[in-house]
Amino acid sequence: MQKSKITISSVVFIVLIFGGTLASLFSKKRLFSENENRVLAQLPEFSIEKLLDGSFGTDYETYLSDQFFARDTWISIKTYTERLIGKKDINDVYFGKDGYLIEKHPTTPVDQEIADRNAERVAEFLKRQLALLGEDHCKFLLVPGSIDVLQEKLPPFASDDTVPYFLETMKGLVPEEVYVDLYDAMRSHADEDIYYRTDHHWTTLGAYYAYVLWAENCGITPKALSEFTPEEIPDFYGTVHSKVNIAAEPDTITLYHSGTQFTVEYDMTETLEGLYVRKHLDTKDKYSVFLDGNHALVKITGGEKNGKTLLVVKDSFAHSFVPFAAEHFETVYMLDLRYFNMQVSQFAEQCGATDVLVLYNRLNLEEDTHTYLLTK
Amino acid sequence: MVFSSLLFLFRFLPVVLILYFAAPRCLKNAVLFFASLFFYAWGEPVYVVLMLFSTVVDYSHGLLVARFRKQEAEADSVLAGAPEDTAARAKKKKYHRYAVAVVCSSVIINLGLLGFFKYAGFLVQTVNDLFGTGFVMKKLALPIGISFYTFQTMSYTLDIYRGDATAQKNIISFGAYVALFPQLIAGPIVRYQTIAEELRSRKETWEDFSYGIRRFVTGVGKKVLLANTIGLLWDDISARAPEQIPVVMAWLGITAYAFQIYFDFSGYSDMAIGLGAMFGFHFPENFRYPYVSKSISEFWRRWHISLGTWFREYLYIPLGGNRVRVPRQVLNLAVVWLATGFWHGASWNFVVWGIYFGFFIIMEKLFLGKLLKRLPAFVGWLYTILLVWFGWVLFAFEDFGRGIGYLKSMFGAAGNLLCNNEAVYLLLGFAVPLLIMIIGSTELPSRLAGRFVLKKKWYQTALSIFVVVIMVLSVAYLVDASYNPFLYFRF
Repeated sequence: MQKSKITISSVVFIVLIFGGTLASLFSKKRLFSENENRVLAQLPEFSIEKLLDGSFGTDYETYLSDQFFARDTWISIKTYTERLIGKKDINDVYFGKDGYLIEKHPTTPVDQEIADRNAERVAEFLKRQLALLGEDHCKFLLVPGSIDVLQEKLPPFASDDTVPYFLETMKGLVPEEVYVDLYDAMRSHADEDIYYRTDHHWTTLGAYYAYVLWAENCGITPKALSEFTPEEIPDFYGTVHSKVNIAAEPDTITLYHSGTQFTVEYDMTETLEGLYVRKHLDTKDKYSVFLDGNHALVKITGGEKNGKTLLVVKDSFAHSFVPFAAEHFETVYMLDLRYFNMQVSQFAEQCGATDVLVLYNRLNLEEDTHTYLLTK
Repeated sequence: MVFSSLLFLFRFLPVVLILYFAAPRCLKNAVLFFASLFFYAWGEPVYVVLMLFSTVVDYSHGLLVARFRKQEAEADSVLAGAPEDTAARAKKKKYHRYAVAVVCSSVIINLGLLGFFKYAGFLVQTVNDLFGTGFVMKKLALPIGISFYTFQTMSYTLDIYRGDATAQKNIISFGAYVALFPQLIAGPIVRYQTIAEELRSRKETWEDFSYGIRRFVTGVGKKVLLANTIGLLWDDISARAPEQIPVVMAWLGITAYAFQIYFDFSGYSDMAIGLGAMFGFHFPENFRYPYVSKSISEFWRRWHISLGTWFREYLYIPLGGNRVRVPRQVLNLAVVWLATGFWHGASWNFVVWGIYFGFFIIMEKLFLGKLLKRLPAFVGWLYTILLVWFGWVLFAFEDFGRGIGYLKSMFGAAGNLLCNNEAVYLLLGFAVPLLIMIIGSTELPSRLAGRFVLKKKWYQTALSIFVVVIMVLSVAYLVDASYNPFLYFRF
């Protein structure tokens, strides 16, 4: 530098970038982020090929950002700034009333095509099962998302107060006697805790209301809520909360125990007693307490000895629903098309299903890419 | 590598600052040169070779042009004493021809590089479309900044030919000019004559350093906090089908795009100018509040100034510029604007975009400009903003069909609504950033600062607070950067 007086701003800037550099070099590196519920990038291994194709550079930048000191604090600073300047949604999550964090799913024309195809495949599958099993034994539960039901909780102007297009489409395609219309039912309970505030799933109570409606449609007498013993599990922060990472009230998960002894076989390998797997209660992903989270194939035995077998083709919304339904069937099979690899009709025949239920969340079914397993 | 990244702020910049200021004077250019190569190679290790090739080509061409011009001048001075000396006349002619040939060779090689890497795929595609042929062209990634550095190296040889600069003997110093990382990938396009002196001898001062910090931090804030934020709004809206974009939302969307591209690009120029100042360089301004313009001609005097200057200096004026008859002038303008459009990307929409502006500039030259001057200033501004906004629609969609669809949405001709809840929701959600950007794209903030802050005793304190706030917020946005696009890969 030539002879000139150093300025405060220069000192401040130099301190900032050198301080930031040292802090990011010597901060403790983490393997996993609880808040984001994902594995963080680690220092990439160096190789000449990776250097030349540029991937070392990209990986290193991901590493730098993932392992940046006080990462969670930085992310909160961003979130609070955005909230301060009037943004009502961040990372596709609305900040709703009463602490509700509600996911939105913008659909592009491409998504729309996938959704339309899924709707047709599901409808065709249900028509075939209806012909085989009869109307009391083949049902479709399309679970609206919290964004569809909790319109009153959304920020001003965030909703157009219409029934989602996909719900209407499915209602039009699926035979009337098969379609259990959950939309109005859920809307009528919208002021109760039927969806988690911090997670995209419905609560056990929400699932219970669906169970009642479904059972009535099947000619089964549903059990009253008072016949179960509730158990409350506090401090649940769900996946939607992870997307925004802002101070929020935790949710409570409720388990309804009936006293029935169930045995559950996972992926034809592991067998556990009971519907609830308690090891998940010590982790962030507490929702997996229901039937151990996602599995390709789950077999539940121990319900009413009536020789009936229920096959549920489902996503994770079914995990809190099936504990109620299982009371009324000697055997229940749950299939998750994301991990299962066999035509469902074929499996239904093999396992001797007397009843079929397709249960999906609206948003999940729109995006599902495995419905080809329903085509034969 | 880009400036608005953690890698640049917390790895590259500190190391380069230490090396640069620790190095003795004679090695400072070398530090910049090698640092710039590293900077460039980070994203595209292989294409460094290309840049080095361009450097070597123009370094040698520059020396040759200088030599031939000198020999021509010598012959000329002989001629001045003895006008009848035919040997001297022949010699002068010969060396002049040599010099021209070398300049041509430089232009051909540079445009050839640019043509091959940027336009070959487009050309093959166009030929296939026209003649139904099936030529296959392997898709090459566009080398970052190639449009900028080929134009810079060309300016070097041309400047020497025209006697506006002397040849750089030191290849490291010349390399530092070509690869100079502050302006390497997104301009400003610094002509060689502008910084020739500073390449040779420059002094770094704390005043310049502090000014550089102000410009750099302003640029980071413009890019990371404003452009990226409003870019999300544009991405959201532009991804929809035309019939699902109500009129209000369509106008909101293109306004978002207009601000995104301005704050992104001018933010990048601010960062470049700021970094340059830290190292003792004084780069030319690239943007001067373009959205207050009252005519298209004025807009282009305020938007991407260094590009406009380049085309004026090395294309428009050599073609005859304003000193020719009107029809020829119109033709010259048409050529310049066709080239300007094409420079922005190898796709028809950019060509049309260039022609579109060329048309209005010609009209303004012929009669519209005089008319606009007589009308109230507001009319001129509205005329300019509307045309520029429609221009951005052309610019934003490479696919014409989608561009037309979007224009239809803007006029309610796509079977779309006038407004819906969602449009209001988006407008409210982005009202604050939009307001900041509207004010920020006028001269008001810098005037206020000039009046109330700049000359005050506490200026340095205020600047320090500004630096801390903007840097902290920007780092927060960068750490959580799921969205930090680089818009100039097409240039």
